[in-house]
Amino acid sequence: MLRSLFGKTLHERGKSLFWWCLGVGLTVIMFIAVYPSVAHMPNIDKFLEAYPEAMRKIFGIQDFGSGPGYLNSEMMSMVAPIIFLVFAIGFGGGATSTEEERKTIDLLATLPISRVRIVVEKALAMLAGALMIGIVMFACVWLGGPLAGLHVSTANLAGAMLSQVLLGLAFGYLAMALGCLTGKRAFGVGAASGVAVACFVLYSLGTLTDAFYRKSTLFYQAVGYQPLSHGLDLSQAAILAGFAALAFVAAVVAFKRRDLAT
Amino acid sequence: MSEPAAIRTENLTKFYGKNRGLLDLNLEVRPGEVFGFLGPNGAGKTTTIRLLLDLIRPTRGEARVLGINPRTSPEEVHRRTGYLPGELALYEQLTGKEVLTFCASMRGGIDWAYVRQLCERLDIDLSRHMSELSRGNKQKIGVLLAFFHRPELLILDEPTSSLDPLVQQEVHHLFREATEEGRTIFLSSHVLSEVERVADRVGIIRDGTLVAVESMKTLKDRALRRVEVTFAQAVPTDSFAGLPGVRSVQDNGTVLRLAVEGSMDALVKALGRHEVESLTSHEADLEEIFLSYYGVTGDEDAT
Repeated sequence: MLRSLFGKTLHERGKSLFWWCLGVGLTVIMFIAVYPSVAHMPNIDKFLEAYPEAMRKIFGIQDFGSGPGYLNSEMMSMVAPIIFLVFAIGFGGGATSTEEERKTIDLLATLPISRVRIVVEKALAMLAGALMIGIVMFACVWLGGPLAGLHVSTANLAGAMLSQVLLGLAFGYLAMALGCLTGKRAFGVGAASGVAVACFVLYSLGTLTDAFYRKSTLFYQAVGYQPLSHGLDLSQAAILAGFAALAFVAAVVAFKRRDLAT
Repeated sequence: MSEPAAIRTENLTKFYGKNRGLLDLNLEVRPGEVFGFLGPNGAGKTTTIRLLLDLIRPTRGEARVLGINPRTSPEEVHRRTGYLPGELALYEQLTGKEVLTFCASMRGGIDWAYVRQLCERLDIDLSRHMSELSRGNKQKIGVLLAFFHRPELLILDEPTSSLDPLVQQEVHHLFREATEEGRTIFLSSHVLSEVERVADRVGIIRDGTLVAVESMKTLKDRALRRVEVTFAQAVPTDSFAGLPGVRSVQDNGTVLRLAVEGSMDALVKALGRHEVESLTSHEADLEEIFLSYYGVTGDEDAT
């Protein structure tokens, strides 16, 4: 585990990653366990019609009776993005800045590995962590869903999880770039969280009014078109991946150029 | 010289915003020597070291470490140097063995026999987590991390400041062994005593400017010592003021305070003519060495 910076980073996050996975698993199982009672509620459609239209639009509430419809509205449009965003932004914001703030950077950055490699291995560790959470989420729905009569296409489920992971990475690498640029974890996490919240608000308003910017905030690309119901749209996924890649490159450039904090 | 200088800087300068960190440093450290880099806190010692290791970048000027430009080939510099940071921080959740394993993997291998030998000599317990260790015990791990891959150049920022005297002595043995093998040691400190026991040459830095580079012997000869003598009876001070080396004299009845530069011989012989009750001598501190370099002793005229 300690033979590489990638391994060391995951080793340090091991405990917290374990609790993340456990928490995420339990959350998903709770959603699934509630499903039978919701699906079999009489007049569920009338009940949903009583919701304000705004809420129905933002949370994609259309079709509680079907598995994907239920998961879209209950889990995929809000809870899952929050999980991936909080994990990735927390990880990314502190990726190099925590080493600077704790002053371990002098030890790390004077080993014969380049600064580029430091950022690359930390970024890969974040990718591995986000994938792990995505896989736990996928497994819980895929294995637990049928037990509760909740059926989702495997391919669509995988596509939806991938979208969530990519959404997390896009903002996580943004946080990483800001942390690399300033050496301050609080700034990386804070600013990236702020941008994510602003994007979500814009996305929600855009969805309500069908405004042009509906599709410009990455949330549409991750959850807005409901990949769980309609399958993964590769071009939308590519936008997410492209943004993540751009933020990652920015992180590398920022870290390579800077005077590291004393 | 066929071998390149271990460290060479040319007008190396670093500004932090408008604040001067280091100004036009021209320094040459020869292969195989112990070079002491002496200066008060905030003088620019750590700035210099971090520039040499490409942790920060110069405003202007250049450095060569083992003939390599750290700006263009930092990894090569890092591979061939061992570094002990002034403010050492280690991964708190890891054990000594884990930290060492990680660093060794990055350096492409480890000689465990040598590590065991170092651990024994420095009395290091590798099984403990960094969070459990005292400052001194962490510092020993830091020394181990700087030495374990037998680097050609050791850059040590205040290496023995938190070590107890026995371990300090052992670390000084390590220095000697390293230089006997032709390796170079660049050692920064703000206390003269740390440097004087091991250094061959000393560079003195103050306010970001290199004031002097001297052999340790020359420096000691010029160093001011404070001497306080208590006599049985009052003694005329004039007989001491003119002695060679005596820089300033203060008289307080039977107590005489002097500042002496270089040899004490003339003073001791002059004192011998009187009945002396007690005699104390303080080693010159850094500020006093600076004063002697500027030719100002604070309470006497400049030379």
